[in-house]
Amino acid sequence: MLGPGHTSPADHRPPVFSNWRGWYLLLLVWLAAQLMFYYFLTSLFA
Amino acid sequence: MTTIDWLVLFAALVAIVVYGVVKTRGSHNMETYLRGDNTLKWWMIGISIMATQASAITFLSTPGQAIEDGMRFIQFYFGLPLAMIIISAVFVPVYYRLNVLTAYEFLEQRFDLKTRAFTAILFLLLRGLSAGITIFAPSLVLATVLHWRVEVATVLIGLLVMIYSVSGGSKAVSLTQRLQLSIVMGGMLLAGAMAYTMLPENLDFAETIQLAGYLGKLNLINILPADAAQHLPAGVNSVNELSLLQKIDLILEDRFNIWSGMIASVFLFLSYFGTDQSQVGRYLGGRNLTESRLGLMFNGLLKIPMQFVILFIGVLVFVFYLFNQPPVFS
Repeated sequence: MLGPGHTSPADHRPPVFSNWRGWYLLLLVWLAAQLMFYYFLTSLFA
Repeated sequence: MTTIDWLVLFAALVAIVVYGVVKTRGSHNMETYLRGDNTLKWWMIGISIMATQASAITFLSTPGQAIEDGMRFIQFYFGLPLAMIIISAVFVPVYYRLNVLTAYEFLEQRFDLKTRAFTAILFLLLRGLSAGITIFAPSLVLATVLHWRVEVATVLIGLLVMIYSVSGGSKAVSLTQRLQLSIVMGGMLLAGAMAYTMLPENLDFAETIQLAGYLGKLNLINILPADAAQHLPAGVNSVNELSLLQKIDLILEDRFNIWSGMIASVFLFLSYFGTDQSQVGRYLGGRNLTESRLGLMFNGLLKIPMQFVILFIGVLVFVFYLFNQPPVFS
């Protein structure tokens, strides 16, 4: 289920959209970036 | 309320109801009623998921939370992307493979009818109570502005929502939620812009941020409770002297911090997005498994920034009312 290219038969999108590991990594990286930004904002006035 | 205010208010209410009923006309079977017609694309699913979670309370109370307690409420949502990953990887493929209409149908297949009935009853009870509070919040606002009784406003809003929900099913709910989300987000952004532009002219954006920050409203990340220094155990003189167990004790008594956000919220959002039919029905209405999973990714990417914007608007309103008299309603 975590592997790339796990699509259903009716899926006409390019395989890159179904690279679920890539999506999960993107979500984690985006979360980490937000945490760093919010920590920076907090530390300005701590 | 002027004549135009009345016209806009009731035109919007009527338009939303009519839109939901008209767009979903036609014969329904149980599958289309509960799951929609399986034509939803990923961005529609994503918006529908966000709109389902973002009730009127989000837009009324979240800015108020920022005014009262600062922006630390955002930590509550840090577990959401992690929950989206787990649901996308584990829950959604199972629902699609078994071709279920509801999350509880899965339980019947996995266990028995008694289990399905029990969890479905629990869902209806909890969601019904939650919906009552969700309707009560805007009813308070409507009743205050229109000088109505709050019970009348609550019944009116409930009846209007029931008209298109009952007649159109899942698809009507998805369609109208997108419309309502755009209206409410637009209104919020306008309120934030107005709050900022009506600040004193000699106060620029950086100074506004500084003012909010030094008054403790930009407290986005809490590793330890902000007031830990006021709740030190006997024999401890400063936060640095706290043992690990004492720190955990303080953290457990604090409502919003990074630990509750990264640990407890993951389970909360797993239960909400993975098992609550109000959310499961949204992404099961997708064209296919890929669209449903992309919709969840969309939600995972945008939810926290959306909450940041809503909380920040609350902070702008807070600064605004430092220079203006807050309204007081009897």
